[in-house]
Amino acid sequence: MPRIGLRQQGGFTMAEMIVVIILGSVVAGALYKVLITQERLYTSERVAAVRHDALRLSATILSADLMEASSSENDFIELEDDELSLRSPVGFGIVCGVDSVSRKISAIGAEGRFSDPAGDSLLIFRADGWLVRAAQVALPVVEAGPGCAYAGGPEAQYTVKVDGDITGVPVGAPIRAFHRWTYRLEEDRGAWWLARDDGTVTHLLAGPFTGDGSGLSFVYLDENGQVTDDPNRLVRLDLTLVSQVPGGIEKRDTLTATVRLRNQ
Amino acid sequence: MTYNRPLARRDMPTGFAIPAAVFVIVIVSLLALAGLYAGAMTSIAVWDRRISRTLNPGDSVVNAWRDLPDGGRYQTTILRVDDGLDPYSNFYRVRTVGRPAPGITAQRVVTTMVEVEKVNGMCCDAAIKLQGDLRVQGTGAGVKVSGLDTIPPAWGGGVCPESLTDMPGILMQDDDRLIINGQPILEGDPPVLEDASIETDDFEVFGDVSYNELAQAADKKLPGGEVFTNIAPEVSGGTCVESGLYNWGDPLDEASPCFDYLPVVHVSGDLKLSGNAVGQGILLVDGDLEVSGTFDFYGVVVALGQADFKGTTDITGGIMVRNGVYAGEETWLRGGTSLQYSSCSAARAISHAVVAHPLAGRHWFEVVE
Repeated sequence: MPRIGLRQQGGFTMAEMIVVIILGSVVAGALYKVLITQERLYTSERVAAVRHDALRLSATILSADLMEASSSENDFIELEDDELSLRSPVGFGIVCGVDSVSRKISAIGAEGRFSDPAGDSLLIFRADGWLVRAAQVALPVVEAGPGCAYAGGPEAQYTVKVDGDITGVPVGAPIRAFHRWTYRLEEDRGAWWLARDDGTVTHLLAGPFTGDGSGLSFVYLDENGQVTDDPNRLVRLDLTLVSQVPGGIEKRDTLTATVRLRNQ
Repeated sequence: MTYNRPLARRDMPTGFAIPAAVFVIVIVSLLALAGLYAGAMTSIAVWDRRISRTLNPGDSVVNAWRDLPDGGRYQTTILRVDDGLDPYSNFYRVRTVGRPAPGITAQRVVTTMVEVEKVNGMCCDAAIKLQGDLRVQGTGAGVKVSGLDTIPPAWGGGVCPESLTDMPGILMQDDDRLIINGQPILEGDPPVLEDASIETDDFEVFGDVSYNELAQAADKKLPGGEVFTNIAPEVSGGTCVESGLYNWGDPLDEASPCFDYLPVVHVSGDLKLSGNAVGQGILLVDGDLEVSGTFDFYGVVVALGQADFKGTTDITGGIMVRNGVYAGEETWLRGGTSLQYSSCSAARAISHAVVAHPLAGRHWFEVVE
């Protein structure tokens, strides 16, 4: 006679379930901890990258402007501990033809821009010193310019009409277009940025930096290595930038650079 | 270069790749910048005076790549940008490309403006111009000082212009300090001329170019205090060996490859010549000049000390002897000495003497590519 009883059924015992739940919790907890650690690390790296980016970009911009400025030719306008005003180069060319009557100059080797609407001015070499002139308008080459005074040499790339006398400017004289900028830190949306302004427009260039007064500082030195506040005696400049990302992150990075003026 | 877009509004970087790349670019660019700065300055320091003669306005020359000690390289392109109307001043644009050592890809470009000035007003107001004492000792052709303008007989047509202008034979600050023993030949218009306005600067400043600038840019720089016994043209394979320290050109053979080589020679002290010496160009002597052998020179000689010609000297062109800052030292002419004024010989030497320097005020511009 067949035996009748309960069928043996598959499944987990309570003990097994408890073990699975505990192990799962441990693994999930471990994974969560790893993710949190990675997130913190990632955030830290990202913030550090932002700080480094700000420092390098700012140092590059400032160094490029400073290297080309000439203290003996009055390119520095104002020297302050935390801001600097100077003639910033925006264009370069070489005079290849001069019409002093119509005040037009034809040029070769054009780099950058020569724009009166943008507020740019010109420095034009003459044997007795550099002329400072406004660029009235840059004309296409095809519009009447004196052209180049070379037989078979390079042809004029552009013509610029100048506001002011250009008598005595020799063929071969360099022209430098410049813009007067003041560099300093400006606050925007709770952070401090390297900015430049010409009294009309302000450009935020790079950041963020500390806002406690240490974010941007200059030390101006003369040829003897002594600190000077005379714009015409400036030979070397020590630059310090301190970057810090706002939002309660205390960590800072500092970059110091020494720039020696090349156009002396 | 404009940065109109405020970085304040840009998205935060999403990783380390961009800053790392910026870092690499900045560092590598700085390496390249250092290279091309050195390159540009070197090009000016060793300015090849042939460039000044061979490039017409608007012409350019591309130099070969040159290596730097750190493995970097640079290449310069020189473009003459003046119009050629000023005979004493030319402008050049030197465009220098710098790259770091192989294995790193980066490049930066700078433009340097160079002014090349030619000597103006250096020579010659006389066959010999001097500030202090002058003692001439000799008879007949043994000692000759002539201000009668002459074309060197060995030079054929085409080398010199036809026009000649006679000058004084001796031009000195105080002719009471001229002592003559015997009956030397003194010729010129006039043979001897006193000029009380002669001053030290006359021997050190020549127009826009100074003695020191010219000495600094000299083709050959010799130490002072040594005795040189063999100054002679050096030719190899039909080419003038301009690198030879003792090759001062060949003024005696118009067919020689060294005939058109007129170096500027600077001696930083006393110069003593014995044996045979032949040369041309400009000879600058910081100290005393003493010739005890045979010296045949075409061009301009400037001695800041005193001169003593004991041997057989033929200078065709002009000579200036400052006789020291303190006039009163002596310049001797004796033995077989001929000082012959030649405007052609002097002008030919001067036309090869140039000084290159960065343009005053602002010469440097970095090209953003």
